[in-house]
Amino acid sequence: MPKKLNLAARYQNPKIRSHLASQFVLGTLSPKVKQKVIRLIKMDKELEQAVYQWQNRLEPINTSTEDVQPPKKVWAKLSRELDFSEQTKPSWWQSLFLWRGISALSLVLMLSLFIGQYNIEQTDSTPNLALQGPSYLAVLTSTKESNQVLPELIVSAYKSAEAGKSELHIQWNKNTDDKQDFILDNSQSLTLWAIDKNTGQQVSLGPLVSANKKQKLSVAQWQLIKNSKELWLTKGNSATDPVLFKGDCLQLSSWKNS
Amino acid sequence: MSFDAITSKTQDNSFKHEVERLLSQVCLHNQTAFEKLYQATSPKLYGLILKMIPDREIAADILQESFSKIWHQANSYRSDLGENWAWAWMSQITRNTALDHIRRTGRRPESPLEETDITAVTDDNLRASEQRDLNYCLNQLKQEPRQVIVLAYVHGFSHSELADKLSTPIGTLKSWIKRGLKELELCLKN
Repeated sequence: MPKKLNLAARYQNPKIRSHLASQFVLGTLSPKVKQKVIRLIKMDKELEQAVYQWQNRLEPINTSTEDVQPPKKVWAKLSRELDFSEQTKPSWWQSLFLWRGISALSLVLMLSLFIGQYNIEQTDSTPNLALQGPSYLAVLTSTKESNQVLPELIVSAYKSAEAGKSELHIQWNKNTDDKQDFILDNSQSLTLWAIDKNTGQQVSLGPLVSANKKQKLSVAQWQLIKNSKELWLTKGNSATDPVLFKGDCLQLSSWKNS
Repeated sequence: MSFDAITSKTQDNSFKHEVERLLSQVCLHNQTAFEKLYQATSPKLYGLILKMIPDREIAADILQESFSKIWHQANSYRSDLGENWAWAWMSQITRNTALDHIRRTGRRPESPLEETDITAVTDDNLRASEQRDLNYCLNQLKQEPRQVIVLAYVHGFSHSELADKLSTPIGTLKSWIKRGLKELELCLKN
């Protein structure tokens, strides 16, 4: 058996895996073996899980360590190194209560229409996850910033049991007569945002690729949708760019489960 | 569980939850979230590095390097591994960065072992339940395995450094660590 195969097979042994994970977390592996473990973690989910378990087991030792405020220059050097630009805060109109009121009102109206009467366009390929029904749904209505009356955008998030396989569907309502020439695709530099339900912070979910197409959601993106109270769509990728659509994000999984 | 213990546990969970929330935004390259994550965690991580590298200037450089890695590697964030994972992952990246520096430069803290307060770790008054479980299980170990595990974890001592400091053959020391970790795992599982 080739040497490499022997090694790979060796790491499948639960005892060796646990030994490597524990010594990796303890910090007693030689630099060479440590680098090997770092590479293996990316390929072997069970090793990653074992490392996580050992991190959790030993991490409480750190709580006996006193906090020490680092010098201020560390952050200054770090932000220079990472080339951070000064981020501007959202403009005053973005936090206007009026918009939230209009949004909430339109949501109730649109949701009732959506459930009772409207047919939603099918995506270009039928999603398997759609059979389970969406976990989160937002009906985005156009704002004054869009300078035109547009139909509603339906954003639905479908949860997959597999990490990174969850999907986001963005679709026009069937009633697209009013759509005029408005195109929703990546040529428009449109960005979808989640508004955190606890902090109200506006966090990017990334660019909108296209309407009527499904997009994969990373675990982090899913977490942001899960924690959001509203979803916004902006023209541009900055938090201060005009908000064209917005709507409350509703959790549907409990309905489905019940 | 006493009121103080419950309060401490709640604070600990709240801290870890906040770290997880911020890290999920950092992996989308949110600079504001990264700055908040830095403000929330850098004093803990700097304290952790100083235990391994007492030189404050070098420790500050290690802290900067660690956060740079956290920014660049945040996309390996896995919320499905549990709420505690985000903080444990950040601690591990920081410890690994400090260990890499120590192994590369060969510089070691020169504090004698008797100054290392392992009772701070095995103190019965430790607060949260995870700490109390670990404390209980560490105290079930014989003194030698307990001492080497805590010294290796807190100060980043290698096998050979521990063997030198404890004047013990390296084979015996490796056996203490191996046996100690195995017993610790069994005890914590139970």
